[in-house]
Amino acid sequence: MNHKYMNLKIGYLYGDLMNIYGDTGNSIALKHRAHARNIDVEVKMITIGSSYKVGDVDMFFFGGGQDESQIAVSRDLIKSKKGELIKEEIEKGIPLLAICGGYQLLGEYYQASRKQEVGSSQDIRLEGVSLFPAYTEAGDTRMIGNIAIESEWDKLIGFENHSGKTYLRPEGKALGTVLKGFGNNGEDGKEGCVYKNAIGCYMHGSLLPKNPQLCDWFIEKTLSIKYNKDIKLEKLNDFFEINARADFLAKIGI
Amino acid sequence: MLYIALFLGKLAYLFSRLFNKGGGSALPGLIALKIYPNLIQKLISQIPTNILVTGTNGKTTTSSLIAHFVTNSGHTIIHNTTGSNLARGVASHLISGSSLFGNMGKIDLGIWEVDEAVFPQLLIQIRPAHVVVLNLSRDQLDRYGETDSIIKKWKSALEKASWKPHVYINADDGAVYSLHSLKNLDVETFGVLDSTVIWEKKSTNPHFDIQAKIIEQRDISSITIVFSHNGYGKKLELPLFGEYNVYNFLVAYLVAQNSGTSRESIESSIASFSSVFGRMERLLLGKKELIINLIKNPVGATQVIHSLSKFIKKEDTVLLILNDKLADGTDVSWIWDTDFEKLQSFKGTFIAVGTRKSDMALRLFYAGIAKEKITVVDEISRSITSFLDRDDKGRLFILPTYTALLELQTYLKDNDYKQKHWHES
Repeated sequence: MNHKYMNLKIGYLYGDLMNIYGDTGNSIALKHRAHARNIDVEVKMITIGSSYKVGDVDMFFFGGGQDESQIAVSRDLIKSKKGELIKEEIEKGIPLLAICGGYQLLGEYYQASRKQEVGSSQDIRLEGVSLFPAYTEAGDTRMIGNIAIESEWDKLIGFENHSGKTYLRPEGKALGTVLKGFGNNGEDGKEGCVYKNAIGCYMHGSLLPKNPQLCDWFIEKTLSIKYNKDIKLEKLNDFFEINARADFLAKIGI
Repeated sequence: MLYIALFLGKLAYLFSRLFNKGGGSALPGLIALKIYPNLIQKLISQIPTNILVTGTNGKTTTSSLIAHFVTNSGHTIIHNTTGSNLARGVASHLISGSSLFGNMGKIDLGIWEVDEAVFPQLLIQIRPAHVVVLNLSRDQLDRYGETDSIIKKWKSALEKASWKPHVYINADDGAVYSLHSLKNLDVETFGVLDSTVIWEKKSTNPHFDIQAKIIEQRDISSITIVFSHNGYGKKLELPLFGEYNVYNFLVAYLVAQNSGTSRESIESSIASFSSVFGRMERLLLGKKELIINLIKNPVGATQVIHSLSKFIKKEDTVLLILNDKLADGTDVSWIWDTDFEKLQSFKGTFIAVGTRKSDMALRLFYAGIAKEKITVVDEISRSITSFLDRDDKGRLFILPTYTALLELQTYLKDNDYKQKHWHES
């Protein structure tokens, strides 16, 4: 299929503040794999002080950040109403990928421990957007290391680094089951959350380059919704992707 | 207890030398500190002047530059080397420099490269007269944590430094420059005019006490600058590579001068400074040239790649060695924050090696480099022998992570390549 006149507009949520642990690799992967099919990609930064209205972008990406950035972003999501608008879009089926801090802020809330004090002592609880039926509590130990999960998108692999423990509400659907690593909270063997076409998880790595099947799903979904027809992408020669996946899985013994 | 600690420390040093276990850079200190936790203060306080160098990138080059300048002007120094910049490494060096009775002898200057995570702790123990803060960016987030929390710890440590050290800060690095507002500190700043170096946070309107302007990077081992300091100015050719190293030179100049080395002495000895292990280190094997430069975090690696991109020619090969061992950081996500896209226009070939070689190859491919130009090789040795076998003029630019650099070093020594260490005249 010729996708020549198609284009995809990614809204990079708070990309200037929330971009640690190589999460930018996800937008690199989206661009690379879209370009390989002649699809144009534009990345629009949506951040504190920038305007955003419904319909501006075709999909969202939201990365992880440091504590202070996370506080500022949490406030802005609520104050500027961006959080509500994003939620409205997700309800319509607009795809979204959120990693770590972004995932936490799209849940109901992030509860810091009293000892930890996020920012000042008044800021013990960061309000979220309540897009994912999930909430996060601060933990005492960091969950760090390679992670692999079994999901609808085959095995997904990455690297996690978080102390927050995320718990899904009973209606919350996990992204997958942990094969190696900690996942949402290191307790229930689940990782991430899926709501409509929005995915939140703890997987850095970067996630999309080493999980090209998920990357392609995002592109297909986004274009199908945008152009209101069923879009199937042609396969690519995924030599490097397949090798990176195989080596990673062998390394962690799966 | 001090004597027992010293005795056992020295014994451990001898043993590790004898059995070639890591050259004795950590174990003696580790043992001695267990027995006598105040060992560092006890020994280091005998040294009249101590200098501490910290930051994410450039510690080794900066401390080596200071060491070079001050030894040329007749100082007797002790200087820890790379890979031993934690408390145990500092202790190990002190043990090897001290007598069995804890006497530091004639040493009049201690130059200490200190890991950014242990800086607060070692600042108190070393009580340096001079503190150099080079820069701060994300490095091994799996070990160090986030930069916001590191800078907070640095601030509170410096505020508690009752002996009022002289602090040198990089004015172009926004995170580091924020230290200049700390009260009770005696601060000097350094920076480069119209700098193109990328920092994690850039400062706005910084003030420079010493500043340089880059005239030209002529080749990979010569950069010409004009610098000015307190109304004095001079054009100098430095045997260094990359604008980021000009910062290291400027601060080394300040520290050496404040430690009693004259301008003339510094300016005449800079020409004989030779590159440090794995920092644009050049080796000539027969007619083939190897250039080795450590990469370990996104900001540092991006600075290296930006500077190198102008000097790599189409007949050259770029060998990237990506390991994910503990000392490298087990998280390789940082390669996605590194601007490998800058190498797109490079016409030569790439080789990826290391425990995460296939991640490296994927990164290069997604940076827009053609698949035919990327080769994945299992062994470091094979990537080097096949390069040496080729009969052309191309050079091999090796960019290894930390443990890969050590493996490479061992390989080159074991094959007697390392004796032919080559200095440009």
